[in-house]
Amino acid sequence: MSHCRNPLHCLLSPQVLQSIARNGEEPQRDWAIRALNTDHSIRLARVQNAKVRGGGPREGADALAVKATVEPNRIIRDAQGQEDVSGKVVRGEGDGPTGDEATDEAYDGLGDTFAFFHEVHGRNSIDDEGMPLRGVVHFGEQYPNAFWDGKRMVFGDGDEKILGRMTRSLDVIGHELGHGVTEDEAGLEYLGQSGALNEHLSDVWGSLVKQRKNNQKADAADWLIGSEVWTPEIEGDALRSMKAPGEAYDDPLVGKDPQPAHMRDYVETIEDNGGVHINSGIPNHAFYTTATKLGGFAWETAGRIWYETVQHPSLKTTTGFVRFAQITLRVAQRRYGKQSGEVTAVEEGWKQVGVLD
Amino acid sequence: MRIEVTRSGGFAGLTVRASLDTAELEPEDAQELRTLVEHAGLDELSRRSPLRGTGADRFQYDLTVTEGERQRRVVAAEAAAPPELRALLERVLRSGSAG
Repeated sequence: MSHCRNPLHCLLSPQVLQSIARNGEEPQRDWAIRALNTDHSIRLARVQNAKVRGGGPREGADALAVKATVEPNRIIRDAQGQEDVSGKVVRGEGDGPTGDEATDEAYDGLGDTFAFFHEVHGRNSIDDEGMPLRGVVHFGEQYPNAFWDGKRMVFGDGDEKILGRMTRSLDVIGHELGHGVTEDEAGLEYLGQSGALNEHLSDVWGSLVKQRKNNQKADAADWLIGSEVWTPEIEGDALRSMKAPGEAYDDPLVGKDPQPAHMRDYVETIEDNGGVHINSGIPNHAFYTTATKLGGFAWETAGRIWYETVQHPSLKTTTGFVRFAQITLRVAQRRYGKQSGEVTAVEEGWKQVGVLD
Repeated sequence: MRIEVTRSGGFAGLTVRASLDTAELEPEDAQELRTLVEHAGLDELSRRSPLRGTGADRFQYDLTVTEGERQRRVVAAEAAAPPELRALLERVLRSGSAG
């Protein structure tokens, strides 16, 4: 049943292509990823991949929605101030701008994030099987939040007093779609250190989507998350800073940024699922340190190491900071060599924040 | 009756605390609050607490209701909080005093 548009791709089974994609040298690897993406056999490969991961093959509408070409399929709904994710579709794939800021920002931001994962990592959407990108805007009344509900990215308009419209920041949109990718690949439990890693990864994807969109190298990027979300009344640059965790804001109404930048300041709490949005500052700063030591575009080397870490079989749903750091090192060693500058940069990143010593 | 609510988490990770005491409220407001508490099903929810949710970046609520010696506490993920509980939580967060 396989339709081979490129005869070269037909010579190799999806399993072999997968193996090259995972273990090959850079040029072969990139070729294999492209081949997998353009060949219908990707679905067979994913079934195989699911077996390797220990899960079952994916089923349902999304798995069947794979297209021959890799394009986003965005569906933006308007909740009209209700806490309802089944509102009217206001912009579908290929539709022109609506004039509604939240709708158009969500559409564009999801497109930029899709392009990031596809063009940098050869990934076809959240599940790598072309899953439609479902966005919901104007969710809830004065709702000061954005979230991933397991199936879609949901955005509130903010409360006008503290937080504004959540879609204003591209990295917020990238962060939410990133949760879908992390859930699909690693299923990191949203609690304690594994939860903080889940948050960290979303900040990484969000920041890298923005850096790539702005064509910024690591030393030129602001490394801020949500810099357009605070209302003008709040004293702060952003909601978080990967460059300087703990220094994103300091305001009489909302207080000071509580993020630690080192293990000695790790926050033990039952709030926020064990401080997942607080302790993410530690791995965030490790990533920043690694990326700036490496220089260049952060998504090309540091981002690639982190992406392969999320896909690594040793990454468990309850993995903590130390284990995660060890996997990033193993990935860097295999990919760039044990004595490489890349390995040193990764090591220095984790030492900087006290996760490795 | 004293009702304390903490909302933590969400994308911004901001913690908001609010509390109300029926003894300090107008009789009408106190009655409204007692009705919300009655309908929230706290006995069952406190046995099931913490109520965990799915997804990421959602809010987490921590509710404590104190009446004399009796204290009930429910920790619930936003996605797992029934509408009756949400009504009580939002009422306290909207009009309660901070802290």
